[in-house]
Amino acid sequence: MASQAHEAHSPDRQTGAMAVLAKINPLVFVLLALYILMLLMSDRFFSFFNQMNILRQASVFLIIAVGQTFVIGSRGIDLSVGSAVGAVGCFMASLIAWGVPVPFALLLGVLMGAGIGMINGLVITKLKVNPLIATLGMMVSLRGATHYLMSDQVVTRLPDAIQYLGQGVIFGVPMPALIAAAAALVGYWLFFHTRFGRYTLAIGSNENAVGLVGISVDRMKIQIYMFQGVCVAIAAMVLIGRLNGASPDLGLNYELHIIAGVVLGGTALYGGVGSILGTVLGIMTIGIVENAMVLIRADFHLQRVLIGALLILAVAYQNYRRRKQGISE
Amino acid sequence: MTNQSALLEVQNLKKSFGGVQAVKGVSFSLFPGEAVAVVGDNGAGKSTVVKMISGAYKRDEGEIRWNGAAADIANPDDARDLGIETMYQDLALIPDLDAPGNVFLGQEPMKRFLGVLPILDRRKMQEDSRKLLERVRINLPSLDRSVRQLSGGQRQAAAIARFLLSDRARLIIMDEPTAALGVQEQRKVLDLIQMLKAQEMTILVVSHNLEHVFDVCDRIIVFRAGEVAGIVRTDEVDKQTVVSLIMGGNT
Repeated sequence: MASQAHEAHSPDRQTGAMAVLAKINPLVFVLLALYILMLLMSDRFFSFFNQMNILRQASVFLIIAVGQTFVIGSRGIDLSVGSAVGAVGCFMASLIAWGVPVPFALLLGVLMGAGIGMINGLVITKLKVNPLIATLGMMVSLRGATHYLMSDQVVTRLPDAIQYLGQGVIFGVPMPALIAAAAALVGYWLFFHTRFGRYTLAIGSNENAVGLVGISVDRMKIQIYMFQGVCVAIAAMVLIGRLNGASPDLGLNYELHIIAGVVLGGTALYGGVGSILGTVLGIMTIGIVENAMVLIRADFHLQRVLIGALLILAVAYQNYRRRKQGISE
Repeated sequence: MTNQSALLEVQNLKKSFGGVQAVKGVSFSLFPGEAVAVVGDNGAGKSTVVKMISGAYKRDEGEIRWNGAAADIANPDDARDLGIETMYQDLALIPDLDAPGNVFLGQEPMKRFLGVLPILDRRKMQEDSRKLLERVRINLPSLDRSVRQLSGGQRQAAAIARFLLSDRARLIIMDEPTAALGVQEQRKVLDLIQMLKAQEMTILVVSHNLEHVFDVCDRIIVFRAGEVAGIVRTDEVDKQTVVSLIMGGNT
């Protein structure tokens, strides 16, 4: 049952200790190496405060990445998540500023997130637009619409309830990390233990065969993008709470960060193979690398260079493994 | 020749594609528990006829009777409801799922974790799949390997086990089942067909390989230019006769 993590990797025939090692997601070793490296390079890295800081920052990415694992697992991609965080975040913050009760504003935000996902899904399935282009168009349009409707203004000073979602602490653990952990658990259940998750990967593996047994592939795909939209809305709540406000630039460039984390975690860009645990490890790896670069005072712009390079390396590594297994695509 | 009543009867089946008549009035019957081959040159109409039975094409004219009653097969679901399953050449499997996952695709059993949370019942899928695979005498090395890692013959077995799951299948249509396989794997597929026959399953095989056809099939329907050129029993004729029927020479 706990085999989900290694599902993302080829079950090479090995014995003894090597077999055990082969079952562990290789990112675990990358993370260990990073921790040892940082132990030598910075005395601040291991502080409780810094560790919680890493969690707090990775949380928003992780919530969105849970949805993206489904999207990529079904052989799709959603580039519009960063813009959707901005649009939904500004929408919820504006509603609250206009006096709409907080729970109601958040609910409308979730509906908006699902609506954006539904449009993505409909464009991909009914208009037959390739997911890369469909969501690239959505990414640009949605960002433009957000700037236009907000007249380039920002919303600040949100109620305590919202701030608590982004800044609260329970037993020393930041609220965003708890929400992200809950999202990952629900995602794990859906992905590994329900028909929804199973059909998601099946569609990524061979969507024609899925259609032949009477499952509506189009409907499944629309639901997958809607689920991604709901994840985005939850992440947007946490984000506007943490920042105590929303600006039209909210969520800018998140998509690359999230896709890199998911792919680094072993979810195949070709679909059919994926894991939520891998996504958690992938997002944490990127979060720790970013944190480490801040601590060693590397230039901010170099972080983006590194994340871009990590994405390319992760895909190259995936392709290498597929070739080794004799899978051509 | 047989006292049993026909499982499937097709009478005067016709189909045209944009003015070209691909099938010009074809009639034959299939009986329970027999394996029948459909042979013929490319363009002889054999795959068109088979697709009208499996529901992939709708017939222009003619009648299909199932267990003696008129059957209206408009799509693959209609055919499946009657008990007609089609094994496609690419087997329509999910390469990244294991064999039980493929067998149960679309009808996964669920159970409740701690009495509340609905989760997939993986153990039931494994156990039931093992039983189904035993029925066709196939032993897979491991039921948790993805189908991608199985051999061609094992994949065929997984595809067949899926048809057996519902207990509804009476006729299995196979399109060139041995075409893409190595010699040893071909043997396994032929054994599989024998096994299904022994369990009263009717098999309709489209094949180019007369060697295999004579090996496992009881009868051969030869198509030529959209018509039935002859229906022969494999124990009464030799390959040369069938070849001349295909080519249009005199027998």
